[in-house]
Amino acid sequence: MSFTYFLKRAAFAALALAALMTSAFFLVRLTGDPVDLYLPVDASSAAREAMRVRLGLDASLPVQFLDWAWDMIRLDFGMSLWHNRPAMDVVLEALPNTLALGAIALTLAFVAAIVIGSIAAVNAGGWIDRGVNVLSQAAASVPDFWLGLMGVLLFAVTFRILPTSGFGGPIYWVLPIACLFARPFGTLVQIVRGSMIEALNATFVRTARAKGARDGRVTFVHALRNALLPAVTVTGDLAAQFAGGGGVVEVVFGFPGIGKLLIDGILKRDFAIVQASIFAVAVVIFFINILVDMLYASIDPRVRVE
Amino acid sequence: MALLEVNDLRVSFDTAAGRILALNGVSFSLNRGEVLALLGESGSGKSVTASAIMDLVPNPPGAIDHGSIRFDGSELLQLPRQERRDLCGDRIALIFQDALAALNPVYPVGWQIAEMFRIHGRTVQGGVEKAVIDLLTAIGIPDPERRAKQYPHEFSGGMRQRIMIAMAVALEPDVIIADEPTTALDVTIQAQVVDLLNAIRKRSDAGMIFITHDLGVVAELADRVAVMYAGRIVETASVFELFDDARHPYSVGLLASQPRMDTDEDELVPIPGSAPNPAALPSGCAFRTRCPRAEKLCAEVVPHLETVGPGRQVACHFPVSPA
Repeated sequence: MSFTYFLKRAAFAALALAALMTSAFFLVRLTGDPVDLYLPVDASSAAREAMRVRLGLDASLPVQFLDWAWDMIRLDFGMSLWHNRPAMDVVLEALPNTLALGAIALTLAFVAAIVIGSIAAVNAGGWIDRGVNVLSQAAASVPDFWLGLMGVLLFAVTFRILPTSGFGGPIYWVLPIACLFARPFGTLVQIVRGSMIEALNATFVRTARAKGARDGRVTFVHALRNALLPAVTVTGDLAAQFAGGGGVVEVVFGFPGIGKLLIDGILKRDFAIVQASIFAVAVVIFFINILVDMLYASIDPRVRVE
Repeated sequence: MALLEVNDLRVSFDTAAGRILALNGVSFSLNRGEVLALLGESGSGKSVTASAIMDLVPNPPGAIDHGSIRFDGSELLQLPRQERRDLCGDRIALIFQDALAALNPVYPVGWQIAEMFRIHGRTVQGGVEKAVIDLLTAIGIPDPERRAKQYPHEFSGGMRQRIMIAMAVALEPDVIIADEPTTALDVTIQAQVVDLLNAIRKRSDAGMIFITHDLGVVAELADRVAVMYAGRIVETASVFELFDDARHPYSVGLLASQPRMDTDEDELVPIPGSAPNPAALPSGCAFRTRCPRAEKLCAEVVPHLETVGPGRQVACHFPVSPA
């Protein structure tokens, strides 16, 4: 991928980001007035007014918007109302947790799906294939909040081998990863199985057999690389979703990631946190898309851009 | 003893329309240095014959029900799977019809040719890389060092077919099976590819089975011809005998339906009707419904290949009399 191509992509992404941040500015202000939430119901109107002035919420909306736009251009995301620290600092503490959680869960799901999906495709129609089909359908359709609660019930409450929630050593990662693993794994197994069956029936696989290649080589060298593209596409989509946080899973396990931060930010009308989170996630998604494109080109020479 | 001997081969496939016989007792032999053309229309069983020899009949739905394939003294159908696989590519090689589909789109062509050496654990003097460059040079690919790193989609149709040929002959096999290798090419390129294939074959004295429906290529290349119809061989003859003096009404019909330079006939005569549905073949002789010479006996008794001269066999109750 050439540097000019990268710059072109980045320019388009910057435009999209500006539009996204603008809509975020208006949408967070629709959630309500933080002053009502933070001051007691019987606070005097003078106190209310003082807080509005402090937060810059006393000016008219267009003026607020221009102020905000100027801050954005300088990448100044303001102070978090709840944490009383620069919002981006708070976001950058949570983001690595989410990225690590998503990356581990997705990598495991991808690798496991390739192996199991390929085995199912090789045995298409047999009992292994049928077993894999049931398993992957179940994994793809189980809601993650249910899986999370059942995991807590079984491993934390009954067996007492894993913590219910919180954050610390590796042991706190097990249940969140397991919950985030299930759906991508189920979906990817189905996709790998389908594209592998197609690839295994392709003429070039017959050629490989006619050349005398053993079964393992035929499956994993000749067919698999041709079957990878759809799985990479879907994994890229899932990665973009996960970049926004494990959502329910982060909340269920009290996992301090960007998803939990964002939801708390909305509930606490912490405008700065919401805007900084959205900005950080959008930048991450931009790089995920670049990475997916590079993966495409390295897997299939036909999609390489000159 | 013949290099390759196929005897009473029967292959069937499970389809939605029931079990169909793709090959219904096919027998032929191939000698070293000989070119045998398998001639017939689509669905006559030419490609299935090639698949059966290369162990490429998909099972299920296909199965080899009966028969024998002897290669260089050993019975292929009784060899362990792995030993049979090892023969493929090394001693018996297959050239596919559509090189774009048959070459793997995600690997460079040089890599795909080199894979032949790697799969069979062959080492060559000067290294595999050099052997690949030599092969590409031999098949007339200019700038072979650069081209070896390119992918199939970066080549023209004719070039791709040449690469397919280079790959098939890389280990100098004893038998080359070419399954309609020129059908997907322009007429001008066809002749070049046929010449190349023949030159390479002559160099290693390999036997070749050339599958085609193109009588022009048969005349140019083949020593002997086996004409196939509905899963059977209906006539075998030397190429001269077939063109001069075809005995089976189907062979006669095939010849009359194609333009020829060596006779005064202006008019092309098509064979009436169309190839029979393999799930519902006519009783007796499968060709009888389209045959001008068919009589009552043809519907009742299946004609078997009978020797009618040295190296000549015909499966017909009422063959066309010698010219």
